[in-house]
Amino acid sequence: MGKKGMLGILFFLIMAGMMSLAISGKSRFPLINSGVAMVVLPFEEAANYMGSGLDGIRNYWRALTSLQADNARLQQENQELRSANLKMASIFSENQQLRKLLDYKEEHQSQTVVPAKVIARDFGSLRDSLYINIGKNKGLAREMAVVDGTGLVGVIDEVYDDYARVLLITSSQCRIGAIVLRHDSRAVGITNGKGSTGDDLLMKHIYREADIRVGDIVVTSGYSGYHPANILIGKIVNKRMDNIGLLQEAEVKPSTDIVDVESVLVITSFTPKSKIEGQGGQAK
Amino acid sequence: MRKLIWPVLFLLLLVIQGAVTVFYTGWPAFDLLLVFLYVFTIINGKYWGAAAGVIIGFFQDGLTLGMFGFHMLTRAVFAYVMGSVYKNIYNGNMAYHVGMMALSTLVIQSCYCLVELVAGGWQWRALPSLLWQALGQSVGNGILVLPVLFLGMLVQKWVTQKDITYNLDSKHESAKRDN
Repeated sequence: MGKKGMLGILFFLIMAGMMSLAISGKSRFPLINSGVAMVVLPFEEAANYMGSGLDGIRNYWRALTSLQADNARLQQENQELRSANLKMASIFSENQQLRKLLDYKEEHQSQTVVPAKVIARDFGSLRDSLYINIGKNKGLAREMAVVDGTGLVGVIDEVYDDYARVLLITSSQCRIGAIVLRHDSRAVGITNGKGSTGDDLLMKHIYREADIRVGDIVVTSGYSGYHPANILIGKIVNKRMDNIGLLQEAEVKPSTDIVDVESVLVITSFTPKSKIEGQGGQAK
Repeated sequence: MRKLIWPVLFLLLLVIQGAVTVFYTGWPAFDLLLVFLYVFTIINGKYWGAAAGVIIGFFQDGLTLGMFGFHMLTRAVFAYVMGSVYKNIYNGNMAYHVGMMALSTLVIQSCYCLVELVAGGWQWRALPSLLWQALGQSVGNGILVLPVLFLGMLVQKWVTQKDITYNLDSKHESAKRDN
């Protein structure tokens, strides 16, 4: 056995002895422990620091992916809710309009009314009419009054088989016999549109001594025989003498928002007279 | 045959004009048919434009109340004037179309205001409201003219495209002759 072999055995014996002493707890080697620790632990700490950083990055990407997925899911949910909300708002608006029509029908049970939807309007420069989706098939005739839940919208101007054209009260061609509702007034006149859908009506030919006030409610008079009486037209917002000074005029704000009408009722129980005998009431 | 796309487009815009205005009631209003007429005139010239103006105006007069012939006359004159002016003035600037459309709409709507004043018994108090409406339509038409012009250009390109089958046939014919 050579030198190397002898050294190897000696080293083994020393290690075994130290291990046995360590296991039995009789000897400790603090110098060795602290020396090794002093050398190794800083590197450990650095490695741990890097590991924490890497772990942090890993957690960050995990959170980011999860957040992105959550974000996408919430955005889609938000969009669906917005869409549902819009539909609900539209349904609510339609519901409100239909409620008004129903209220009108219940308040005027002596009248026979037929509901209709506005299907078209504004085909050109002259915005004085609109089209509804019922016609002769529902018993419509010319000059029949058309209302929504809040008041008079217009009168039937032309009737076709399945459609009809309505002349709006704001048209300069539309003339309606009107009366002030107040019991101690009852002033009569004729309301006339000015052509602009956003403008007030003009009630003309009011007797000079008639008692009319700002705020008075104006309804249809029914005297002409064309329209039933007591359909709300609007409220007086201004009054003055006419150009000549013999008669009064009043500006009447329509109770109906003519611009936003989408559903209407046609009063069919009141049969109007034709202006000229033998003219016929319906378009061919 | 492809030229029949123009009346089809007109009918489509007529339907859209009537239907959209039930729901859209804002101040910048629009007259799609007038804008379409302008685009048609720019592309096809003043005479075809005037003829189209008469036809479009006829439909509008038939669908609206009031003085029959108002739309026919105004549209025909509008198309003829636009067609005449375009050749002499247009310098390639798209703002020209917006300006001309807005200005001509304002002029036509002012004529309409006059008609309404006469029909309403010279109620001058209605004039500010009518002019405000006119301005709104002028703005709306000015905004719409460029998209409709773009659509019109595409349609015209499609109409004037060479017929592919014609070209194929002529190739076969010439190949036969060579053989």
